[in-house]
Amino acid sequence: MPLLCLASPKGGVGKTSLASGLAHALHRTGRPVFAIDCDPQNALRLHLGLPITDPEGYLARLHLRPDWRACLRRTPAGPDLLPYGETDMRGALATSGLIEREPELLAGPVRAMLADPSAIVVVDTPPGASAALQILAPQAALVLAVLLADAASTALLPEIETGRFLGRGTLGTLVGPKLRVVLNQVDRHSRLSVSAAEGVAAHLGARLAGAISREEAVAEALACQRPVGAHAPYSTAARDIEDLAATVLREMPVAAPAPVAPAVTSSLFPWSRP
Amino acid sequence: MDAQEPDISALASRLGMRGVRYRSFGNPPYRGERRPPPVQPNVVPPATMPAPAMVVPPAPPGMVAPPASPFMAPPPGPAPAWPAAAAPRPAAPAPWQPAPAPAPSFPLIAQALAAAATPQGQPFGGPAAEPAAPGTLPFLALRAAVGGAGG
Repeated sequence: MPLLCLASPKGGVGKTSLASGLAHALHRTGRPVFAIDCDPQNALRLHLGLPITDPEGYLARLHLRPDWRACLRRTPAGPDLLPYGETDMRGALATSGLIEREPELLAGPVRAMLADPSAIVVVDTPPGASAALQILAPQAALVLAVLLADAASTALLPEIETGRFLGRGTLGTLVGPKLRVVLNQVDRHSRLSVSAAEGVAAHLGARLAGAISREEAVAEALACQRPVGAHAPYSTAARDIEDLAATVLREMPVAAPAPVAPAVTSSLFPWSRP
Repeated sequence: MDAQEPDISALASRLGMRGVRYRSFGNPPYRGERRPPPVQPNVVPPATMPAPAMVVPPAPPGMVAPPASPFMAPPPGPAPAWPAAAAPRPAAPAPWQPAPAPAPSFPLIAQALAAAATPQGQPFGGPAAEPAAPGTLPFLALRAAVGGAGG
């Protein structure tokens, strides 16, 4: 079940940048990659190259019960994307309530995407507690919690350790062993950043899946609507994300892509356009 | 372990974190032949840089002048006696040097600003119709510091 959920107890940690970078890096390994944007900010589409003027998406129109296959978009960066779609605060709250009442509206499309054993599904969830994370975390092979190497993020480690972030009881038992942490925007020239990173690394041990350098190339990549691996492939951040993708593949072994003819693939997975 | 010289590799090996690379914490390796030039120390001859003189105004009659605070910025020194040096002319690039990279363009910035300027109701007023009068702009100090023009 190669479902990868990106989550964070707090916002503004670069979760969507990392989701796009990981989706791009995993796609470059030759596997089919689907990205799902569950964040009402609807920003993953911009990272992957879809125009800002495109309002279409899946979750924003969930009350209309759209066919998710019709909402799937092939992005210039490579991965197929199910955008959230354009919405407002009221629409986002209504969508959250709807998938809480009918989780199959979100779990169903994810399950259908995962029917291809070589496919990887990368889900970008909203910051903090969310219905999307609660529904998808039990299905996930890995949940990557993104933190910054600073005091505010380090102060949230107890949220993760006590299960307040991902849930206690059965949910915590299900999700806990699959939780890994990624430190984003590590600045090796900052004493605070290095100190926080050292402390978090020492505390988490093998549960720290990777660390991404703070670099201007990451912000520039979004301004150019490309994942950083496509915008600045030789930047340290891009190579950090490649390392993280390799770690993810080691942690959740995925079947090699089947050498089938595209026509057969299309009939099995009609939403996977060549 | 020093915060300025972290030994993450040793830390990771002590913790048994094999397979996880902490490239972020180390100095990035330079690939190819493009190494940055060594940093030349910016040494100014001491004879051309006189120390600014702290001028303390005399206390009015009957008043006692407070002691000079170490946190108080010294007043600007007198104008230098020597003429200002002419701005250095940019040297022509050597023929073996690559042409400078063109200024990057960030399409999403322009697209987002264009989309924000498109009339769609705009409950928050939309873009400013005309520039505000000098002195009423927000972040005046920041603008002055950045642009020197105050707007």
